[in-house]
Amino acid sequence: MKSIRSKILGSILFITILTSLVITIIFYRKSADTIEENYISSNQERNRQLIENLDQNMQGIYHVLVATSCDEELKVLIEEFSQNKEDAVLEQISTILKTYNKQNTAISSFHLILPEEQVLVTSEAYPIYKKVVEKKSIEGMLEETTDKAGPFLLNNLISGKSPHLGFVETIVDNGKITGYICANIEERYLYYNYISELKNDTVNEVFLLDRENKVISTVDGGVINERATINIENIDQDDQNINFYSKAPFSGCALYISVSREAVLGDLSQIRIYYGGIFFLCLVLAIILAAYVARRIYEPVETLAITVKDVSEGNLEQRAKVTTKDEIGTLSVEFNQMLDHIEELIGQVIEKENLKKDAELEALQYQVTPHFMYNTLNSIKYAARIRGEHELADLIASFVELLQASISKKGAFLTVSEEIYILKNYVRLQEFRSNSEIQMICDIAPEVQDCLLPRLILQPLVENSLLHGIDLKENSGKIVIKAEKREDSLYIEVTDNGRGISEEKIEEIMNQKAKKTKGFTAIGVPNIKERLKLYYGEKAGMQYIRNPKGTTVVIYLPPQKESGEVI
Amino acid sequence: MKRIIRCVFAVSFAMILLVGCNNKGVNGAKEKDEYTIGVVAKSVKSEYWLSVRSGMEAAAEEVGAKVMFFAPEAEEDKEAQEKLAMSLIQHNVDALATAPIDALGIPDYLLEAKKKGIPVVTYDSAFDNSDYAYIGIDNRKAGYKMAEYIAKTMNYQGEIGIVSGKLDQMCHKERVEGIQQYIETIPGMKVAYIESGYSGAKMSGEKIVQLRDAYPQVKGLVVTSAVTALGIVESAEAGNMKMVTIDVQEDALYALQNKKLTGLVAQSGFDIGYETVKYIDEVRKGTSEKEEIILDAQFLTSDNVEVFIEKHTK
Repeated sequence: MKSIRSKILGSILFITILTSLVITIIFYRKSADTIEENYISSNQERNRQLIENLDQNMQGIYHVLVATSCDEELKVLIEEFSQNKEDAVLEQISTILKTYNKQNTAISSFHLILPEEQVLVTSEAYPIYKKVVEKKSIEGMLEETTDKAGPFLLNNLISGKSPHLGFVETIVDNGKITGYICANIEERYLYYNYISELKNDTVNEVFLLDRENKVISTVDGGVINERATINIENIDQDDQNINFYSKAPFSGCALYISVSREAVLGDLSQIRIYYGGIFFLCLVLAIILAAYVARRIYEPVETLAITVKDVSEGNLEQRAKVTTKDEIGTLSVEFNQMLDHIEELIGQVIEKENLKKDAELEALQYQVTPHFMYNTLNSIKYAARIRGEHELADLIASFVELLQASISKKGAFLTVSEEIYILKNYVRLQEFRSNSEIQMICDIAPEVQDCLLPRLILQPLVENSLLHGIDLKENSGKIVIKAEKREDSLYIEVTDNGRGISEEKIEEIMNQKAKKTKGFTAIGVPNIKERLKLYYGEKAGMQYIRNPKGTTVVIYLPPQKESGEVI
Repeated sequence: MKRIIRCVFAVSFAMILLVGCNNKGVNGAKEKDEYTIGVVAKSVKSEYWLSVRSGMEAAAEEVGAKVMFFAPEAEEDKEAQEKLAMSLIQHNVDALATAPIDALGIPDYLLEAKKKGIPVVTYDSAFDNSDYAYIGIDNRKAGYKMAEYIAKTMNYQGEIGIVSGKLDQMCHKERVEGIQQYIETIPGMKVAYIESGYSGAKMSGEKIVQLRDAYPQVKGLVVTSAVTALGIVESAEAGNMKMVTIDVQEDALYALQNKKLTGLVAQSGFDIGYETVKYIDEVRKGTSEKEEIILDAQFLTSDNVEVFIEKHTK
């Protein structure tokens, strides 16, 4: 069986570990998410800025291109060249292109293509123009760009180098397309302005892509004009990398950056160790505190448990030590009070038992004397009969019957009838002794005849009437014994017509303490009182009533029969 | 005890769920989609067009749109404007707002926009005889107001001259019509000349002298563009001629304050730009069926310009 201490300890540890574990996990996750979110949002913002700058640049380039394509002087020179084919005109065109070229540093060069003449004029220092450009190349370029939104990845019609980004616009003169003008942007320009600064240890890939996801520029020198193998739709489904994709609204150019998640979130491992350390520190502290708290809580319980065990083994003098004011303290106080009460009750029981024992012993002593007298008197009675003294023999017989009746029953109780019978014999003997007549009237209700009384409880009362109340010399003595049931008690009244009793005497008799007396007639009123109290407690008692002539003594007690029945 | 254990498990379960929910993937993501409004203006240089752009950007930020603002170098550059508009259509903007330099023709970009289903609205200037929605002031009324005021300052007597932008731009055409409409109602007044083609461009001092010599009786001038009017004001050749014009721009307001200009129709570029984008957003959401939004234009003189400046500075 687990002790309360181990249960408290276990509960505290369980709750502490669970709470700190959950809190640690939540904080770790939250920190990791916050780091990742901050990284992503700041990079997303930077990329958005970059791509917006790029788009603004592209719009600027396009504006210059449109302005160039609408240049009236240029249109006039084109017309002039179509007629005279002079190289000097091409040089003049180149000069105009150079002027526009200077308006935007992002434009590496302008190329003016005159399709009919298959001539290309540049804004570059060299070559200023190229004659005989392949018709196929021109047509190929036009096919790629006509009626489409720029910029485009254009092939270099002069050098044949790798494709570059550029815009194409028509030159229209009087409703007729007389040429095409391209604003070219070098890959290196885009690289150094938009890509190179993104390069660092955590970056896996950086692509600048055109509208069709073809590579315009890349950080690791990837192949230009190849379609990038990027799954734009599921760009955020990559567990290994964090991917960024920002697209420009005008140019359609997109910046794609792929960053190693592990490299970016490497700092998290330190946070993990940090949180782990905090967790274990909390755990150790929790164990120490839990042990201390459990001990503090358990200590009074343990003390009480030891006390209870001592008491159960019979050591009733043991008391629980009260150290706290909580429920355990209250329990200890109540337990101590309960022990006090038990001790008090046990004391009372012992005292009562001792008193009973004394009374019974006393009664036994009274029995021993009648036995001896009974045996002796029987011998006298037979001696009297042998000598012809029949009256004497009858008197002795009455006396023997009195003794016989008083000792023939075992135990401390007699029925009302038996008690009355004893009293009658007693009165007859008293008549003989005093040589007087005593009238004894018994009015016993039939239902109370079998009720039990403590043995010889009435005899002292009758004796008192004969000795202290009735004047035996006058032969007018009268004793009335009445027994009946009133309410829940048996009432027995002993009334005499003697000289009565004073209040002071009654008070003296009632307050007299019981004392051991010798002889048959020595059982006094205090003894009656004491016996009634011992057997019946508060349910029984006695009372003196002064009559105009004589005295009545009333005894009341529970009307109990031998069978235990209460009537 | 069992109840406590059950409670502990319930709390643990809730916490574990919380942890689980918290572990939401925050991976790199594409930027949110926002719609793009392509705008072609007549110019990028004047204060008026810059404030149109500011108004558009302000409204776009409110409605979550992006403005792609294109404009040719000069207000006369019709070809460049149409090329830029075409480019915006080719870039598949979600809506196009245009202030056509040429109001009379039907440019290719309108046809292309129709083909692609891109909604087009006009602002500042409308197309002549077209169904495209218009956001701006009532230019005819503005012309009428300008004429009304200059007539008043001239005691309804004498001749006036009109210097206007190109008349193939609806705004200038309508303003001139408004001026003429009013002057015709005044018996003692008439329009001596209409000199057009000067929107956003300065009139040379030579031309001013030439006109002054040719029409010495002209004592009042109505100019349909503030930039042109300011050019004339700055010229030493202009003399003490009364002059009213249109467009809110700082230098025009100060010229009015200093009584170099007699009156000014306060056409707010910001309001026009702002309302244009708002209108496009409403059309996109299907909450507006209006075909035009006519904005109020306050008439400013030296008497109320202070209050106007103070209010707009705030």
